[in-house]
Amino acid sequence: MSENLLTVKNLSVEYRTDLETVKAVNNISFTLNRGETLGLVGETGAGKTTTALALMRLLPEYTGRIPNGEIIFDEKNLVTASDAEMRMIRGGRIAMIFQDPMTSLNPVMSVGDQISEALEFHNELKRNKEEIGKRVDEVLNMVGIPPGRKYDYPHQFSGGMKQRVVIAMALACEPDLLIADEPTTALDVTIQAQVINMIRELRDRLGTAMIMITHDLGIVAQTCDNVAVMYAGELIEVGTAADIYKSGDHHPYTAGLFGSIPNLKTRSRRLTPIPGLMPDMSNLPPGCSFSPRCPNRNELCETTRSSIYRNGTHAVNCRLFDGRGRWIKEEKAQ
Amino acid sequence: MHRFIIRRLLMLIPIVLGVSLLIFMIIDMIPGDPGSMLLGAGARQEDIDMLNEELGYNQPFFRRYANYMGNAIFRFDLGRSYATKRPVLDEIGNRLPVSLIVASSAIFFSLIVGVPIGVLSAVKQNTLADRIPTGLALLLSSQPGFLIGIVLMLIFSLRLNLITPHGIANWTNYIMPMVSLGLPNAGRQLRFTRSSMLETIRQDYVRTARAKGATERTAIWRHAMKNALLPVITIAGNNFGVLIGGAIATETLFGLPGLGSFIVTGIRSKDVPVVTGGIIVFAIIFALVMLAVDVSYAFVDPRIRAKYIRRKGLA
Repeated sequence: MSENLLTVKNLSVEYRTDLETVKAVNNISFTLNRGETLGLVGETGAGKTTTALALMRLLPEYTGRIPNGEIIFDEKNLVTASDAEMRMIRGGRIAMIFQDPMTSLNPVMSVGDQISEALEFHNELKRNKEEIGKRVDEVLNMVGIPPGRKYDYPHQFSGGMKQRVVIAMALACEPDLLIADEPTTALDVTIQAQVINMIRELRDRLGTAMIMITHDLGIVAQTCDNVAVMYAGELIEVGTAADIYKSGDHHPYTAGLFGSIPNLKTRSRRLTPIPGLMPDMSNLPPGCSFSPRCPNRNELCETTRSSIYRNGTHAVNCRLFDGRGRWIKEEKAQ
Repeated sequence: MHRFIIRRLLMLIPIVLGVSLLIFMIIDMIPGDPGSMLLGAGARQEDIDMLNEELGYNQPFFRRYANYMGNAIFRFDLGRSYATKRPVLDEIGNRLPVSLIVASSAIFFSLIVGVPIGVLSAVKQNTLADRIPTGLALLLSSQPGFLIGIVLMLIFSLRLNLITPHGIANWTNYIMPMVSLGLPNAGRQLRFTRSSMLETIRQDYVRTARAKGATERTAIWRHAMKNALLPVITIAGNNFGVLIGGAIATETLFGLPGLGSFIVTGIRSKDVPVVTGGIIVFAIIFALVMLAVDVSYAFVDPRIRAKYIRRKGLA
């Protein structure tokens, strides 16, 4: 068993309609080792969820497609895997927690049935009905729901409890990889902390690798070993949590993200949000896709794609660093 | 749940009173009187007046209504037909089973045909497997049922000589009415099922089911279908109610002694007891069907069930 669990190479995802082609994810590459957590950060519409759905091969049937790239999960390329193979992987080896617990549970099925279903689909241990029932009780206990409530329906649970059910469902088969797609966005702040703590604790206990999709840098700092910052379908900065939170070298977008968080320690009158909006994904700019909003841009940024600057584990996709590991804007200015 | 059912059954009382009053009033407003209708154009005025007197038609409106409803409620008697002198209740007792068989077989047929094909065309949206059935459904549901009846008659009775086209002597007599009423309904059912299903298969919980590793078949039939079922049941219940009293053309075409043609004959001859009695029975049956529809909602959807049943203490 190798350390490496997931390698994504040059993955692109498009949504094609008769009117336009939206390039939602463009040539992203990253790796994930067993037991590690990767934080996928970016503003809404950056392609985070699309990436997750591509990993699960759950893109919308008619519009979503993967024109190029590889998803190597445990030495198997998921892009070319058959439907039957994907079914064994979905829910069994890769599980997903969806963004909105209000809509991701089936309203007409009891939560116990919804959890036991996952166990029935992936019944490698040949459990019988009773054993499956026992396992359902076990996972419900694990997420802090009294097993007696398994006969209840989703509408009888609060939002936070529903998300616990979703988590129980995802972890029932002890997957190797858990994709959490903004698991707390739809919950209120007090419940958010509970749910994040629980996910973190269960991940550590079960040794599951995780991809945590979020736009909340606080959650990333709490949970992730590595961080990938996504913008307009590209990874613009990848590194360990330390690289992102401690080092000074950042992609201007990442710097902007940090500038948008209120800081209690330093005194500042205003937040410094990033001006402008993300570009239209069906009509990306020819150069760096962040260039229209970038405070440090120059003419080259607008016309040619940027190159990747690497420093150990830290990679920044910005020409301002231009392979030399230095901030070269000042150079230009002189 | 049974409290809810009892409450709904009690609601039948105002429904029956309201419907009967309305019908009584409407017939009263139609020009003409039963005496002259029954005796024909050449009758003498004295005979007409005498007959009207005999039928009690000359009494004031509210007395007639009170008499009628008094008999209906306390003696379970819907009066006698002005024309045939036979008790309306007996007549309805003979005709209702025919209407019920025709309506339920037609609805059964429309569900068996419409729902699976509707689901299929939703799943295969915008392919030939969707376009052909939905096109056919539009064609079928946009023409009257008796047209299909005539075509069926031409083929199976005249050409192939398989089924006698008239009467209710044999169960085979019910096949052609079933198909000719069932096909347009199947078309409507198909389109409703399709649109309901299209909405449901895009729901997050269906994606969740797939994410758990469900096969496409499980995701659609176990997760989406039950959620898509409510509008399907509603339409089926409505259609059933309509067919009980509204399949007049088909009843006439196939010579079926059903409720619809009974009421229409009554309207033509200003036969107040026939019309009122027929429509009261029709209203009761319609209300019962709607009750059955509502109860079946509760079986399908636990959220609706929760409204009917008080939970036995909170856990």
